Amino acid sequence: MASILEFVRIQLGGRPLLVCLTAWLVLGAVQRVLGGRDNHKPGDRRFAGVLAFCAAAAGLASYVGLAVWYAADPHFFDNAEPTMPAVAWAFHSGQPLYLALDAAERYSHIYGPLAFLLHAWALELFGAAIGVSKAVGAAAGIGSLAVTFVLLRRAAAPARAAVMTGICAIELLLFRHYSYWTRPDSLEVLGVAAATLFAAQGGLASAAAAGVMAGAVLNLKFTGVLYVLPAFVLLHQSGRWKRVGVASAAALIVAIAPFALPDVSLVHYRDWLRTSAQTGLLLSTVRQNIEWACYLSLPLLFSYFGVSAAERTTGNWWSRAVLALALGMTGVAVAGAKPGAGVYHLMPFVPVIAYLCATAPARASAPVLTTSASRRGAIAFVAVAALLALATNDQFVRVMIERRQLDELTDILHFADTHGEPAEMGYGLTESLSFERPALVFRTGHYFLDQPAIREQQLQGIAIPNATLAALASCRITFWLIPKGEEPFSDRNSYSGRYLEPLYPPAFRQAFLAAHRRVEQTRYFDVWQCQPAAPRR
Amino acid sequence: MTLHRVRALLLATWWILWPPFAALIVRLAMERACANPYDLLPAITSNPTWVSLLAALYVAPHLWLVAAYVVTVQMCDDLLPGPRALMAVWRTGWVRLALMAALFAVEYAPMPVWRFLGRVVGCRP
Repeated sequence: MASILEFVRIQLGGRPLLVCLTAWLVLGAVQRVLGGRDNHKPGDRRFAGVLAFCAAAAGLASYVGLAVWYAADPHFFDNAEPTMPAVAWAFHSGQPLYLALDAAERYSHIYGPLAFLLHAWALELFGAAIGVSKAVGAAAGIGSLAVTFVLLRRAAAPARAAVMTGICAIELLLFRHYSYWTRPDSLEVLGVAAATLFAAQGGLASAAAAGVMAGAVLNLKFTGVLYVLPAFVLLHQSGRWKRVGVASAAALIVAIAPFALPDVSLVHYRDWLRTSAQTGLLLSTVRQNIEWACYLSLPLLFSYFGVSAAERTTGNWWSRAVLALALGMTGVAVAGAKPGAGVYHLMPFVPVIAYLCATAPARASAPVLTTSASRRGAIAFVAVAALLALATNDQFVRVMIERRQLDELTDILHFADTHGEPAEMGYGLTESLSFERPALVFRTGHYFLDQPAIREQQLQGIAIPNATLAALASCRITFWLIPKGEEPFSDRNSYSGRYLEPLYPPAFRQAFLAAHRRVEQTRYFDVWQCQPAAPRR
Repeated sequence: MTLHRVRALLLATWWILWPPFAALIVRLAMERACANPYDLLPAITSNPTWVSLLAALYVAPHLWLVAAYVVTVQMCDDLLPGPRALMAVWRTGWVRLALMAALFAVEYAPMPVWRFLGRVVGCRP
């Protein structure tokens, strides 16, 4: 079974549209072979409804179960997830959020300030622990489904809204754990769902709330504006330009406000964005993003053309919202093709697409999927989503079960308890052993080297500056924990364009080896201690 | 804008989009068969100015095809229109639609096809 799912993930995982179209055509052929019988009987429709409900319930239960299971353990899956709590806590302890390009510390990313501030506030409120940061992501993921349900209820009956929310859960699971991880994407999905909900509600206060959410999404990532274009169409539909103006003003204030905080430099943030824009795009990723965008949009076709022409929505706003969605998805498909990016950038569109599907019939009680082709298409869509989500999450769960066998956190905390001086997580070849690094930042309030940032910066052509080497040599950090038996700072870049280039230049490694000695070992790490150079006579 | 006008617009813009897109697809096919299929045209795609133009050239025909599909479905009210429906909706313009679709079939061909072709041609070890 595992090998079948592995085959599905590797061979079919990147081609959801082609797989779905094939399944759609095969279902049509099967139906023709079976005599073209179409299930219009009330009993068959009830059976299809029960099946859809079961699939949706399984999707929701799996989503919530996986999110809670993931949040309940301090191990991370992705290498940049620990960056969020680490940088957030360093900022909370007084370090700047965005450093100058040539600063000694290397941890600046192009995520907006809110991506870190929300974690910093949660860590302050509930205590500095990895679990708190993971809970932020899980709460955002589960919360986004709850908001999506409320949004869908505006246009559909409870049962239909519940089924559609469940299908949204399956769609989000296609992106492994990205919709509930600690990186900003989980917050973006929640923000976009909430912005759409407020925009659909009407009223000036709701328009302002939609603006606040849109501003938050824009602040999290500079591409955020592309996700909320349909929400602005909704605002225009309900209150013309007045509500659009109110929402835009609120969005602007929220997007800019975090830069008014001390240690959040807009100038440095702009510098990092500029350098990031220099990395170019991967055409193979553009193609993949477009294919995923088309796949995720398929339900719109089935919803609109699946109801009789007389029952279809006639509002201009709907077609405008679909156009805004297409514009946003196209923009994200291109912007999300930077090296290191990918299809998960399309995730925040899932609640928006669901809402447009729900509003495709003119009446909430209108029969949906009334044509044979739309029914087969919907079945193919859900079946492919469920299969690919199962394959993706099978790998995710297996990796996490393996990681859970290790207990690096106890090892790190024991080391920190028994050594008073500043310690930091270093990097060897096994990057996953560095994933508990926020634990040390929570103790010291200081963060020096973030390997995901260094990897990204190398891609942008930014070398590690001399200030970093000088800080290494001057023993700013007394102890470094390096994965046991591995060469310190020996990892290589995984991005195409810089593929397999050493992440740390020879000068860096020489500076480290000249100033540090391996002095002891813990269960999982070699401890390298800085040895200050002898004073000159 | 009526569907007939959208269809006319699509047929007119085909002449602008298809030739450069065809050239790009042929070049990408060569890259996929003979070079790194995951880092296509690296000299151009690493240049922020050129890559914007290239992205526009690449994305616009996708939007064209999606629009053509939606127009077809809207006009014949069938989610999976057959050849007859296509000819009825597009009349003589169906050839342009078919030529565009052919380019997409090449562009979206699975990777093993390119590996095989690369070996057949002898440009891939």
